[in-house]
Amino acid sequence: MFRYVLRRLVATLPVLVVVSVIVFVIMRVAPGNVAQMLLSGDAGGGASAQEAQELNRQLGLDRPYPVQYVTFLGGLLRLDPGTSLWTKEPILRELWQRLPVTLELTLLAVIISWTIALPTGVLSAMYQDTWVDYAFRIFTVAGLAVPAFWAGTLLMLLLVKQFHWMPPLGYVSPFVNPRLNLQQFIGPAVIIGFATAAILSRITRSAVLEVLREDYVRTARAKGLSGLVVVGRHVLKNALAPVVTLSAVQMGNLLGGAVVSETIFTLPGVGRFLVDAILHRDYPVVQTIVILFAAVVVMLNLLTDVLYSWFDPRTRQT
Amino acid sequence: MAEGGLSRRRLMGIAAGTGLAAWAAPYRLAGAQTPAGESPKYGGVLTQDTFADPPHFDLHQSETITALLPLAPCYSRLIQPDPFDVDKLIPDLAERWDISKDGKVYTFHLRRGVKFHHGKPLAAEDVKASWDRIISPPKGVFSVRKLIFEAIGGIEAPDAQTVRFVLKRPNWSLLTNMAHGWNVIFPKDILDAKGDMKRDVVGTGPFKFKQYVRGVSLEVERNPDYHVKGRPYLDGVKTFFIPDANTAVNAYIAGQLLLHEVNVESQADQARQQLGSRGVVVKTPQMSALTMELNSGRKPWGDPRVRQAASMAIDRKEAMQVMTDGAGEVGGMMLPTGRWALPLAELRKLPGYSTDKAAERAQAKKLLAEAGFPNGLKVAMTVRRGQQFESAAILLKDHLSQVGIEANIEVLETAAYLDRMARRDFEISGGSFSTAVDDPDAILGQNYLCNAGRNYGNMCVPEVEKLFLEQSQIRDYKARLQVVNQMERAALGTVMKAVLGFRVTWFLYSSAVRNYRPQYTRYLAETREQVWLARS
Repeated sequence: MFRYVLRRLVATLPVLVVVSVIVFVIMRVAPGNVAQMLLSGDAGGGASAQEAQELNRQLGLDRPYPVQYVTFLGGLLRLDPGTSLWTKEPILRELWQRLPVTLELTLLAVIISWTIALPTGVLSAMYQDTWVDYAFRIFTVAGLAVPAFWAGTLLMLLLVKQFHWMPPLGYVSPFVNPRLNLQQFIGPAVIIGFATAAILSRITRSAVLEVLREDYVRTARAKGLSGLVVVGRHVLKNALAPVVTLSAVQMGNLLGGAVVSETIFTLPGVGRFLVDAILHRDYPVVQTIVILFAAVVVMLNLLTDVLYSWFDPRTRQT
Repeated sequence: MAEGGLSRRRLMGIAAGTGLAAWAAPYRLAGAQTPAGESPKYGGVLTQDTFADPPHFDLHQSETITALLPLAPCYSRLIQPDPFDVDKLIPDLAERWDISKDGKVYTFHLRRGVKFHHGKPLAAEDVKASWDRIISPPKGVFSVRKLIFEAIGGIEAPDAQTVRFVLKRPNWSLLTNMAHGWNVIFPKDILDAKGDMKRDVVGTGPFKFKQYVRGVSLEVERNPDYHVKGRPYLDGVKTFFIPDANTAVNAYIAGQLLLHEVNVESQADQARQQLGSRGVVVKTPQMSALTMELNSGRKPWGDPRVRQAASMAIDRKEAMQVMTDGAGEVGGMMLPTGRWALPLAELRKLPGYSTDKAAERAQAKKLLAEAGFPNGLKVAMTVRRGQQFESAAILLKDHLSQVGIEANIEVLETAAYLDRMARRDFEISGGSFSTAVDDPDAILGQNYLCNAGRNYGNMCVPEVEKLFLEQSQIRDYKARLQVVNQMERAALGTVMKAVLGFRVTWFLYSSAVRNYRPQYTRYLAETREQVWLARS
């Protein structure tokens, strides 16, 4: 197992290098530059091209692309991706401040999605083709169909219109004020969790249905065990493997959902940082975050494979 | 009118009449917006918002409201606009000022007992260092407004309480432009030590920097050593950074913001319905014009007939109806509700402003035919991403098509759009411009002169250049207005830009907010020194 994990870890390096090249090229090909944005302001201040050129020189953006890329990559290897072109703050410090927000949001969303997906998926399977199944299927399809930005805006509108209340602006750490923190996070976490739960619930239903038809389940039933015991003891663990796999893969989607929800609910997380950086053409910030997200997704896939082999020992042989 | 405050017109009158000593007595603002029977209360934190974090804290190098709004409460200027009527100028750090007979020397006498937030007393050297930086920035500093002050030849500090501005030529817009919110006074010692103020907030304003949480808010707190006795009333001002417009209006309705502005009438209506008497909604025309830019460097837009035809194609009344929910004002170069605007009857005679649209469009077709386009022409229209810009582009496309100009719309996000405009790499564009103040030097200097940064059409009209210099040096308001009007006719007649009209903004604020009056611009009077809350 150790050698397998090591081999996989080494294999991730080329993936990250390719991602870094792609994001570097895309950002340079995209029109616009940070100097013009810094000088012009929101009203389009009309800074001259010469002024922008001079600022670009100061920011080091006039150097040849390969030099810029190698400099960035060298910094990244030393765990110092440099400073933001927009704010001049060290990128790592900015990320460090924002990471807890996104991690908390993602974690809460995962908990909510599992809380919704597992019961609805299992019950749908147990009561296949009954009104219970149909009701949960409609519920989960709604989660798939509704985009996060729309659901977030609608939720906010509903809270304000009906209760003259909305989640408190800003961010308070859960260690400082857990109640306030929960008020800030519950809305976006529900929105992201609901969307993720939709797919998860359908996979759970399919997996449970498949296992329910196995001989050992029939045997357990023949022994006189109740339906819930059969599902709890014999079905769920065997049905969980694909659910766990999908859940880990969906972490990438959760990060994507965080980008939208953090903007709507004004949470200062990594997602919003990324959106701002793209809009400002803050190259090193975009490159760092994209590579970080890529690394997270790659690691989660690795973790999934490890977990999968725990759920299904047969896969360890391959 | 604020006691002791001087309107620009009166100031010019005094200066013209006496040749010297335009001065202002100590001012008093309280009560101007306070209902009868109420007296100002101390305490409370005013919450407001803007759409993004400031890129840095150096206001001299900044041109975004995201920097000015949260930081203005920390700073003072030499002179400032009256927060209840920004066309009037009142003292700030300069308690009085004299203007020489020939209008070329401005002498400012500083208040005594003013301290920066880090404890150092204000001296004339601080003012000189700040203004030297604005008019002639050192290497590595980008002073985005230096062109407005090109008339200033030099700045002297003869003693600790006196600053003298020596001009190359008279410039009767100088005081107005000096009062912009950006022209704040920084401490010389920090400028000398650090070179810029990108990470420091040290001023002499009514509030001191308290906390900045990136992506969330910037908070300032009461300055107990503020030089105006009894001010400010508030304990602090907190500016939230909210990128989503719907979230921001919801935060206002939910009571988390006490002050907010919207550009869409439906959002103002939503707030009005939800809050009733607990909220105030004020509709105010803004010093922000919607335009169509025509790049004279690209064929055939160097031909005045083609530009005139394009301008004639646009039904400005309908444009305002669509772009501003009917709330905007059709206008020319200057703010239509301001005191420099060309009268509407005069405006109607210029290409594109006639009420008989059918006749004007027929004329436009003739002009196109004369210019060699009897069957019309195809053009690329570059547009900035954003609901207001995109809907404007669709309307422009429709109107242009009615005279045979087929526009292909290309929508670009802000960064790409600004880059293309700066490089003048476009054919025509649906754009806009905002100016801090309704002043001929500011508006023309930034938008219409040959070297103006926002002269996107690259138009150079010698008559406009000549009249610009002429009007800037005329003391008498009426005489100057004549020249400004003449200049406007010249600029709009040759269609340097096709100005469609001016936007309107709805200011929303809690009924607890006192001593606050929305103005036609947000770049002048946002210190919140006089604001107080009826309930904390």
